[in-house]
Parts: sequence; structure tokens; C-alpha cells
Amino acid sequence: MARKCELCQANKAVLKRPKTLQAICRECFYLVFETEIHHTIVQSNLFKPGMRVAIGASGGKDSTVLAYVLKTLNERYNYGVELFLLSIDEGIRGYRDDSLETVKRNQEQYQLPLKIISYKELYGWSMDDIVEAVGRKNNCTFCGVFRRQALDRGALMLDVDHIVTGHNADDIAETILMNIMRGDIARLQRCTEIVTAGDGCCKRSKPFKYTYEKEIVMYAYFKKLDYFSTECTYSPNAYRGFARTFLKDLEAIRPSSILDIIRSGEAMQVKSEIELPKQSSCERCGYMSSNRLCKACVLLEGLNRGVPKLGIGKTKKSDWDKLADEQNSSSDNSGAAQMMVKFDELRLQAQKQREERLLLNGKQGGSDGYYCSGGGCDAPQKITCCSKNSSTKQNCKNSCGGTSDSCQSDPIEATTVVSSK
Amino acid sequence: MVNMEPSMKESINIKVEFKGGLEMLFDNKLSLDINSKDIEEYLKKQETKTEKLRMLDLINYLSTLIKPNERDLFVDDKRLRAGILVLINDTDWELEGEGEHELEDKESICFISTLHGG
Repeated sequence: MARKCELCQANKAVLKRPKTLQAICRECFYLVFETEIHHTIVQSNLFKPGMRVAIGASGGKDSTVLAYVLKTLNERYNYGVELFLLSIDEGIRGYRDDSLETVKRNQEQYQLPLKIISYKELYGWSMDDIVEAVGRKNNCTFCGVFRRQALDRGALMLDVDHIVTGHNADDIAETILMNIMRGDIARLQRCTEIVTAGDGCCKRSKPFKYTYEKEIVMYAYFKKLDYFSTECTYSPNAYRGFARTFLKDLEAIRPSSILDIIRSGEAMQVKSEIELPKQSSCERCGYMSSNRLCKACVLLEGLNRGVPKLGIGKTKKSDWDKLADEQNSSSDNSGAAQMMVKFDELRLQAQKQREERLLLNGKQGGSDGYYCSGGGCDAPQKITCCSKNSSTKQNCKNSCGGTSDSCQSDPIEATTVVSSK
Repeated sequence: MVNMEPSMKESINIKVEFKGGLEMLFDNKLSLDINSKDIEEYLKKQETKTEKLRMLDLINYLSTLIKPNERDLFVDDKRLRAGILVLINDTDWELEGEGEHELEDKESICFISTLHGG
């Protein structure tokens, strides 16, 4: 007396859709799940042919399913985009190191190039270091602020046009609730948008905006996708957890709550007379900021000076300005802690990478070339392609000392390896 | 009322799986083999009748295997905590009567948490 699928009327139903309350079979589920995401992508104009798209990959369920589905859809519907996996290593032992292993497996399974960048290399501090310095109370602030920038920095290093993240409908509803409860009007506006302008480099979008978490987990389960699920060692007391529990209780009573909250969030408009903070660039690193210094720079300064409370909670705006002035007057802080690479520099490098690529595509008629990855090639502008068809050992044409032996077949990976220096 | 003898019934075996981080609550065990006698014994202690074994009975029995301070990550007021998905023989339990579903021999039950970060 098993129930039949309400869509095909043939197979046994295995899932009750939270969105429609329909009972559907496995095959129909795959089809509607993937097709709805395809519609979201098309209706919101997320991709254009030739675009380079980075998938923010944590190794968790959402980004794993996103990578799998985007790869499938890109092939099925010929989006013509190039996909990359971009992972941030926050430096949390027993959590991120394990989940990065999952991302590495995904790289193999889905044959997508992967780039990992760490907080340690970007900021000079891993999350483990930060927790040691600040304790367990405010560490999530550091992690969140640093991650946002890290993704943008990684995107520039890969020179992609677009970042997609695995935020699902439940996550977005949760964020809307949190922003309401915190009175964060500026973020309330931004968090419901499917595409955001991006902080200083490329656009960001959330193809799972209307996708229920339940369906993502079920999809991963039925497809036997390999994902990692351990709670971050530092997060159990986070505010988000309470919002999440509340939301899940609501969903259990009425599954449409999730989409209803998103609808409400979208409908909330800020009155035009309310002034939203103006966005400009951080004087220190060039990242988008509504103050003279961006939050990451203030937090980092606090860490480096041994006053980690700097920038946490209600720090006075004048303090931030003072910090900015100090920085400008004392330009030589030799021996001081690591400074972040300026965004303009990253942009310049990305630009160069792009020109190289275009040049290469022109020369090769758009076909895939071979890059030299070895020898002394340590700067992106030095990359030259070796002849793909040569069967004999050849010197890399830019006389870096490398040979076609050390060339990699995947041009993207080669670029990544080189530019991560 | 005198209670009926449960010994009339044959015992059944159920396979329980944990995914999505739930295994951490159960000594990192990914699966457990549960015999209905264990559940019945637990119910007896609770002075609950044991004629039919339901999913809810299994859930409450499983919660006794969790450390007391972590129990509310699995159950909430004697019900399964919201945000944990359940599959009974690979079918969404929402199509199988949820907590009222009557357990059968050789059934495979999978609990998947969605509460862990993505």
C-alpha cells in the first residue's frame, strides 16, 4: 500500500516536498529539484556563456550539492560557464582540515579545479590562533568578517566573474529573522537579494535561494554525495543557532513558513528618506567599506596590537577614524605584523591573468593550451603556453627554465598554482 | 486492567543509521542494531504500554543512549527534534506516519541531521 508518486503516478513516492506537500518518487524528485534550480538561474540571469564561476565550497552538504548540480546543469543546458571550487581554510583543527579533505575528494569526483586559501596566508592568523587570543566569545565575528573578504580575494586570484554560494532557503529565512531581531536594516535589504553586487570584485549569487534544506539533504542522501557534517568546534553558542531552532520548529508546523519569511523579507522596503551607510573603499586594503577602514582591517589591527576587543561591539566611529589617521601618518611600520595585500594589487593581477588568457585563446583559436607550471615561473604574467602538440621535450617559451615535461594538462590549475604564490 | 503479556510477541530487529553529524551523539557509531526487547524494557520502566512499538518509542529509547546534557540535540519534549530528517526503508517518514509509524522486523531507519553547518 505504498503511496504512488503524484507526478508520474507510477513509481513509489519516497519524499514529501516541503514546498508543495506533494509525495513524489526519486526520479521525479531529481528532475524537479534540478529543474527548479535551472529556472532560478535562468530567471535571475546568473550566468552568461564564457563566464568563470567559482563555487564557494566548504565540503558541507549545501556546497557539495551545489557543485554537483551546477556541473550537471552546465552540461545539460549548455550554460557555457567554467566552474571552479574555491575553499577557505579558516585554520580550525579537527573541523576545517577534515572538511577540506572532502572538498579535495569533490575536486576529483567532479573534475573541477580547486583553489584553497587560508586565513593564515591572508591575515597572518588562523582561527585557532585568534581563539587563543580572544577567547570563545567573539571569535565568530572574526571568522565571518574574514571569510567574506577571503572569498573575494580568492575570486580575484582565480580571476572569476562570479561567486556562487550554497545558501539555501532556510539559511536566508534565518538571516532575515536575525537581521530583523538585530535591527540591521542595511543587511535586511541585501540578504534577500539573489545576486549582490559583490564587495569590490565580482558578483555573488545564491542559486539555492528557493531550495529547501530538506530537499538538499535528501538529494545528497539519495545520490550518495560525499559531504562533511561536523559542527564547527567554536560555534555552539552562536546566536544563529537559536534562530535556526526557532525556524525549524516553525517549519515543522507549516513548511511554507520558510518561503513566506523570504517573501516578507523581500517586501520590506527601506523608506527612501532613511539614509543607508555610503559605501566606499577601505583606506588600508581597498576593500569595500562604509567607514574609512574596513572591519577586517580594524579587527586585524586589534589582533596585532594585542587589543582584540577593537572593532567588536559598539566601538566608537571616531576610534576607527583615529586608527585610519595613525596609519596614514606612520607609513613605515617595519617589523609590524603582516599587512593584507591591497585589493587594487589583486585586481591588477587578475587583469593581467585575463589578458594572458585572452591572448592565449587568440593564439590557439580558443583551444586549450598547455601551461608551464615548473621551473622559475613564479609570476602570473610570466606564464607562456608550450605547444600542446609537441611530443618531444620543449623549453618553455618564456625561458623560465621549465620544459613541457613540467606542463600541466589543465591550464586553470596551472594558473592557480602560479598565482597563489 | 491487567496488562497483557508482551512475551506473546516475537521480538523484532531494526537497523538504525545516523548521518549528518548525529553519530556524534551516539559514540560516533554510524549504525546500531536494535532489538525490540530493549525498547520494551525501556517502556516498561516508563510504565507505558507496549502492545505496539512505534517510531516515537524508538526515538525515546534512543535518547536514553545519549549523554544527558546532549539529549536535547535529539529530542525535544519526547518528540524528535525539528530539523532531523528520518527515512524508513529509504522513504521520507512524513509519508509513513512519522512518530506513529509501527515498527516492523528488519526495517532500516535513518536519522539525518540538517542542523550542522554547510
